Amino acid sequence: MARMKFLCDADRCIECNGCVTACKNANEVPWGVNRRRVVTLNDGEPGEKSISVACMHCDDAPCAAVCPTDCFYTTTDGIVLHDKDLCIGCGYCFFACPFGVPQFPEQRAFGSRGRMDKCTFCAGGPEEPGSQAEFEKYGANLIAEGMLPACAEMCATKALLAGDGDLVAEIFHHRSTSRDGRPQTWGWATAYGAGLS
Amino acid sequence: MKNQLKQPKTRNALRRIGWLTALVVVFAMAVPLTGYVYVAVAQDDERAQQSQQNQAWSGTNPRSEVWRQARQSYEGVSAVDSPAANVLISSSGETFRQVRMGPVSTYLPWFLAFMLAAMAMLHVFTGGGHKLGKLSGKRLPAWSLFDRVLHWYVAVLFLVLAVTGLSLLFGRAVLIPVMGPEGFAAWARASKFIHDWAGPFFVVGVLVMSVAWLHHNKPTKVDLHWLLKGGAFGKHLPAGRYNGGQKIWFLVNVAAGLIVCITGVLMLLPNIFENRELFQINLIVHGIVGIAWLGVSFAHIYMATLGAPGSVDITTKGHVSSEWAKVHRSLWYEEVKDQEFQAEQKKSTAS
Repeated sequence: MARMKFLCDADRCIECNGCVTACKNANEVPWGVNRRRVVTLNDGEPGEKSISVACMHCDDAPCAAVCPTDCFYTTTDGIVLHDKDLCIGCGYCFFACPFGVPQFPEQRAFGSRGRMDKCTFCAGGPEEPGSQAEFEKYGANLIAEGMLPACAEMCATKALLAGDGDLVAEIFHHRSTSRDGRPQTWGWATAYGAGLS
Repeated sequence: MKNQLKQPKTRNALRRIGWLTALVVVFAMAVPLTGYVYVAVAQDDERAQQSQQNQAWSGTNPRSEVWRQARQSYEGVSAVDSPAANVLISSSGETFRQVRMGPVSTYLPWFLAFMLAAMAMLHVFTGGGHKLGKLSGKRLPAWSLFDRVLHWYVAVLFLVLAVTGLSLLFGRAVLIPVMGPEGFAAWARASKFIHDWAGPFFVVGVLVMSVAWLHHNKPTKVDLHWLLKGGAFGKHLPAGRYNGGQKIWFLVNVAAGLIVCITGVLMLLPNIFENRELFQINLIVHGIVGIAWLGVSFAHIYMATLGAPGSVDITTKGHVSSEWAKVHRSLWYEEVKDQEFQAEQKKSTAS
């Protein structure tokens, strides 16, 4: 079985926010909700790097651990999804998630924020795949149609990779070993020191 | 014949010119490229120097610094404008999870169980409180209507908040197997709603109570004596209007009330938190202090019912039997015995 993963190649990401836009377009998420975002570190300085981040679909997801109603589940592809019918909008998942992923569409009295919304790896939710109800609650189910998440598909520089973890790792391994300009980051001498052979 | 001889000659000349032109073109294209060769050679030198540096294990890879920053919650820049959107990884979330699902979910239920067991043990070993025997019907006025309303206002909200709060923390483990995921989700949503809306009313009650009853709860030497000699364990020692145990319960209410109410009100306004860490600590403190308070309240509830039969009358009827006062509040009885009245008399005067 595949283990779905995202990987953002910081050497390729150009902070175009195309992934954010593709996600909003594919899933028709409400105003103020961003399932994906691009963060630039050391912005404006030499060596600035941008990284696109969304739900990491953790193996041992903190959001699922703290949820009072146990609304999260992991698919056989390793995608972490949640059932909005069980969500009570308490926000604990937002406070547990290291990546700041869970989003809340509303701001009402006493911090009531509506039911949580997050990246689904474009795999919909517990409703009938491809149904209207699924689309309205969770957005597109591209995985059911045999496609990959819209963000990665849209990425112009192919910085954002999505798919089976082994394949993604293979692509990135190939890239990082054949990429010129940073021979100091790999190779025998870097790993073990030049004195050893 | 001549023509035939001449033709190859001109052909050779043309060929020579063609070759020369091609040669010039090739050189014209190739010569500027030697600059790249020079740069490459220079870069190779640079790399050789760099790799010598690496051999000496000096300096860090500038790219690894970026991932170190990402891991250590450095604030970057993001076009997305939402709380903490500019931070890539915040480890405190995992700490919050470990604390909430670890010690908080493990030890606090044990504390509640310990308090229940302690009350049961006390009941068994002290024989269930002093039996007052046949009452003479003589009563002493104790609590005004204001006191009684205030007590039950706070008490009912306390129990409602306790049940809904416990449901949110332990419902996943305890109630989902009973009610099913959908049933529990409905109850949890109701719990959150009730907890949110009852909270502010409870805050008002705790504040009024803390001020209104403060003057009754000044600690005295009598209280110290009562506590040290084991007044809480069934011995009947002299006590005033309130004994040492009750004064401690009042202190617990004020202290725990302050903490639970402040953290609770802050949670109703989650957007005032600048970062997630403060909210995480806030939520953990609210849970720990709230449950500790509930555990201590078991002692209060036991003492007011089974632990000292007749006590409930104070909070329901506002007056208490003289026999009860003689046993449990000997000093207070001496103070107010001239206000004694007959329960039947009061009935007749009232009607």
